[in-house]
Amino acid sequence: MSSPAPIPSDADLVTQCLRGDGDAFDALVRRHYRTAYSVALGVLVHQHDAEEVCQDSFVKALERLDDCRDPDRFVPWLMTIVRNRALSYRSYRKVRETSELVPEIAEARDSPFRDVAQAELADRLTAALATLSEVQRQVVLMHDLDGWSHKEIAEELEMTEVRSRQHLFVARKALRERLGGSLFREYTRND
Amino acid sequence: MTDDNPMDLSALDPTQPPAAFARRVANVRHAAQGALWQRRQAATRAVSRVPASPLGLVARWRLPLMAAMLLVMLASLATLRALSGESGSTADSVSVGDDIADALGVSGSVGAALTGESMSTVALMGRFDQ
Repeated sequence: MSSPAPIPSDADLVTQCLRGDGDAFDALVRRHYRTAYSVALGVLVHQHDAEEVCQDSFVKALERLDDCRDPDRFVPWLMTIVRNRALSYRSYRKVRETSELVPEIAEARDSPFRDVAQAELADRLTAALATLSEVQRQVVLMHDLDGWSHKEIAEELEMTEVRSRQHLFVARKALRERLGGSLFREYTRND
Repeated sequence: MTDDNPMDLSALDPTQPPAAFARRVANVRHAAQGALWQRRQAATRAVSRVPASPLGLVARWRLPLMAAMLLVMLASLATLRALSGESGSTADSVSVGDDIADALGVSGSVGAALTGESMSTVALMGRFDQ
């Protein structure tokens, strides 16, 4: 019985992408989409906007892949692109329309792949996330949605681990107060 | 200040359900088609520029090398013609041949032969015998 093929590293996939390998690009997207989405959603709040920025950021990253000098650190490089594009997108939205940063409740339901209950849950979550500060939102999304450690969050957001823990604590407390107890469940994984 | 109970944010997970995530990935791939094509083209051009062997390297330089050789040949011909124009009259070469013959102690015809006049080897050897 042959052993399974080794999982290619980010650096391997980046090298293949530089040659125009579409499958390697797909693999990078699948591997890091949730991370990119967490960062974009932390900035933009709107799910639809976050998805749009994610897609745009991956394409832009492919176009600029020669600038990624250390392919082993592809993720921080990609996250910089995502954050910058999310900030640009937010500025563009502010100029284009003067609506406040409260997510449109109907937008999550636009997806035919979400059932109604999940869509309503997502709407309530995004509405609650919109009440947090941007840094609290980013910390709670990176930690609780994408599973980053405080050390990784501290490096990415350029803060101390203690500060990251404080932001998470405040964010969770605010979300619980806003949402009530029905949405919470304790994960079995260790934190 | 710690809170060890993570929020359940799975409703926001863009990778769920799998069918929706597959569609998102396909959308990104579709949007990236142009950039991927450009990268494939650039990679193909780069490969065609790299010679596969030393012979390939030589073949790659064949045309420029031949052009350079042609230039050298033309320059050499021009130089030779210019030098032959300055080399003087036949009388001078005869005089030089006589000087050589005197120096070697042979007849003047051998000296002339040594300075460039055509003469068969047998004839030349015969003159040396004299």
